[in-house]
Amino acid sequence: MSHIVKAMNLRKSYGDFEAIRDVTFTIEPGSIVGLIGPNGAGKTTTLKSILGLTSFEGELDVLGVDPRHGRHHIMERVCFVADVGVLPRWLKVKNAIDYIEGVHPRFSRAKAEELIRATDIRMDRKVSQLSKGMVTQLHLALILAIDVELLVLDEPTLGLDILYRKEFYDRLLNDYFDHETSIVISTHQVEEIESLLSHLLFINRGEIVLDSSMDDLADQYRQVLVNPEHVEKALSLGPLISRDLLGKKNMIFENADVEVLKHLGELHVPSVTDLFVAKMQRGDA
Amino acid sequence: MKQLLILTRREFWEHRGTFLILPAVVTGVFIGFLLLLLLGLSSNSIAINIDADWESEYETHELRVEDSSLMDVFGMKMAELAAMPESVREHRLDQLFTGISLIWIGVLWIVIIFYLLGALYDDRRDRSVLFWKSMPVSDALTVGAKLAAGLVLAPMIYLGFIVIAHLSLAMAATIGASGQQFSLWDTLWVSANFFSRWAGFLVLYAFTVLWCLPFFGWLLLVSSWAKSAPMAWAVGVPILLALLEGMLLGSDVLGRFFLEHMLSIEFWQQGREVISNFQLPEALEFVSALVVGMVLVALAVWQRGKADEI
Repeated sequence: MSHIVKAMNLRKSYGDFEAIRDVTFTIEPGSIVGLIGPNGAGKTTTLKSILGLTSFEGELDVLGVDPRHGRHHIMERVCFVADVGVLPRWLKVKNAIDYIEGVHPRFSRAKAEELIRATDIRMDRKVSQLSKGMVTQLHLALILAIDVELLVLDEPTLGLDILYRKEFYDRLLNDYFDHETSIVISTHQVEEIESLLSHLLFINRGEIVLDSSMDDLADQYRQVLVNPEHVEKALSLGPLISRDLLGKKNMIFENADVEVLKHLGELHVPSVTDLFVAKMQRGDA
Repeated sequence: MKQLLILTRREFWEHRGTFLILPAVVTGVFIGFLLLLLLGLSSNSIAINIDADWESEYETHELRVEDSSLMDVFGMKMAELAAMPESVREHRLDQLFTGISLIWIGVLWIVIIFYLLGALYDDRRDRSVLFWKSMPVSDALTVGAKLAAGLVLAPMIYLGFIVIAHLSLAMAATIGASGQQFSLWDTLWVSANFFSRWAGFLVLYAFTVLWCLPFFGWLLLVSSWAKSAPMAWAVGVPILLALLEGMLLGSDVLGRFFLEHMLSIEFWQQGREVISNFQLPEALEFVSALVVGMVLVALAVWQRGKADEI
């Protein structure tokens, strides 16, 4: 199969509010995609569409299935973690394992137990007795024990302190990622995940504003510390953003000629964070 | 099937309190009460003429317990029973044991109502619906398991406690009336017809559940759809519909339908007669109730498919 997910012109409105419009993208096997945008940009709506958790217009193919017609078929091959705290509070850890073992053909009890043993979580505890960080550890352990083709994480570390956030992503990368499973992570905290991504999708106000692999990013976008004497020329090339930095102008260009740019000043590959700010501010203009 | 079993267990884990603990406590209190009677610790003010509330044509047989110790209640009652003709005795015991069962049945009915009303609502409210829906379980099976837990599992547990209560009462009476001249075995244990009584409960219960399916289906539908206050919707909409019908058409078809298929008290009081006297009109109403119930359940499944956190 060439694509894990293929989305064409997804649209979804809540009354007058267009949550997403004409969202088009593909997810390739083995990629780690960051779906990044500010709050309310349409990240969750996009992910819920993929998972068959909401209605939408447009074409969507997830592992060969239209999610509108078979959420429970898709869920055999896709795992989903919404932000922390969706595990029911009354559920005991050992019962959670029993339950998933009972309903999920690709769940490994041994692996889940091994992962949980590595934490401070006790089997006879209820979710309500665990800290927020531990609930996230538990949820991650449970889904890491499921062998799926796509893992969808919607703001998985929202509200956690930095230690848990770091551990979460370390564990995700070390224990899970095997270049066969694809992962989609949505977040508005770009800096945390930029090092693990292979592909970027920026979304703002319901529209995809950037869709690029990390490798192409370096060719497509350039950051230039423009020397003062070249500022006017640089501005005429239409930078995405221009900011003052230590007496120079820090500009980011899209698809500009490198030969021209390198005469203007010092060349860099922009960080995802800088690019994110540039793209989002442009959307606001 | 394996999925249905684990889903039903999941319901039990969540509702242990009302499915198991609550009837266990009620039964515990009941047995404690019997013990008190046996120990003669209580005063005659609780001379709960066990059958006082049960209007019967045999009222004249009733013994008045005045200042006797309650220990004697069992003895006198048993002596009274022993003196009756067999058919009268059986009828008397039937009233007694059926009356006792109504405690558990009443609790069960309330538990089922609240359970179904929360079944597809609570997890949307605490957002755990996102977890449940991330599992490869179809919406139909999810709803089906909730129906099975509420309408099969919980009643079976309650029946178990009713059996315990019946046997406890019979044991207490046997102990209390020991040393009498008549055969307690024939007077009580044989005439109480325990096994046919419990089997009859199952049949009666099955009929009642199907008869009330529109009510249960309606509760599930409200549960799957309400964004707040499911109880208010569940009660308010039928009342409004019945009032509208009364005002616009001057009839009360809807109101009667709602009432008859909600509590079905008649079923429990005269269940066996109702079932054995099933005629065409009743059969037609039975079938239409089933159809309405199944449509409502199907709507709940459909609505569950669209369900999201609230």
